[in-house]
Amino acid sequence: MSRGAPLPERRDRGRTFEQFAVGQRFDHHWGRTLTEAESIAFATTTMNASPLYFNAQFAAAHGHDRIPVDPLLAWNIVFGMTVEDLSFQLAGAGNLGYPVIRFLRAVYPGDTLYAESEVLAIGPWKGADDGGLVHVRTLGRNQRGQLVLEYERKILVREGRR
Amino acid sequence: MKHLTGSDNYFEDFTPGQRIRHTLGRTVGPEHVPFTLQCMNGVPLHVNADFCATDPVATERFGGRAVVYGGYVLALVRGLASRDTSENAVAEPGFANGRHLKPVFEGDTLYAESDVIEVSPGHDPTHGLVRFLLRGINQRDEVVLEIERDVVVRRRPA
Repeated sequence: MSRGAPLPERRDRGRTFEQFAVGQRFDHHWGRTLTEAESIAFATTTMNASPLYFNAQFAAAHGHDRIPVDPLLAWNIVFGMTVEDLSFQLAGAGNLGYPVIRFLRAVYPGDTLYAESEVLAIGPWKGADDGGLVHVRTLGRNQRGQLVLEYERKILVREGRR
Repeated sequence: MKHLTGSDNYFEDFTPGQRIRHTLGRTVGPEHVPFTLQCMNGVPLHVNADFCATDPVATERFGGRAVVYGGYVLALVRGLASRDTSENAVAEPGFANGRHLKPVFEGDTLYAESDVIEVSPGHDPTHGLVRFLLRGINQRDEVVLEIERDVVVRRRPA
């Protein structure tokens, strides 16, 4: 049943294809502090068999004072902070690929990650008449401004809002 | 510590051309939503069933079903491969040339395969670099994900 009274349009988020340009830069929102509990839960949920990410003694024997955060979790957290700016208005499933993902520095529980991106290229995408390709490079930094990871991503972004 | 990890997955055990079909499979359950939200990823295609059922693109391309966030698919497939490829890892420097080839939906079961592309002994006496082509496969034997993966693996202890 309708609520009757006139309602405002639902507030919109994200950018459509027309709103991207080569060289455009984003300092993404929020930042995110990581915990040891979520890092170990990530290892167990994804059935990761590397003790480096869930055994403190094993990690210490391999040069880490604390259990390091699985770099793939750090990447997912950085990725998540980018989606409202980069990939909220998707055409299809959106993710065309990751040309490169590099982990440059260990992340530990208690570290806070930040995300920034630059648009490297835009263009048409064959097989999609309602979207275009946006190719970005994203950097993940810690609370000291040190680069901990970088990756490139190709996104299929919607043309126009609907 | 060597009793903690397997004895068939040290650096010396990997040879270019080797293909490993990993034992484990993993059905994607509703837990994909909490993980997506743990990453603060609110994309409606992953977490909003109403959007998926009514959006023209989502209904036409995905039958109105939510598509599992690709970062979770990658994490699961990497996990399925880990017992054979990175139990003895000391670092995972990165990935390259990754592509999602098919959407993954809740209820799908994922399996993994790893092809050894290259082994680089380097100069460190304790470990070397192995490059894999990691493949995620669904219950219909369709490849859903392909990505190259670098792992720094310990050499077999004396």
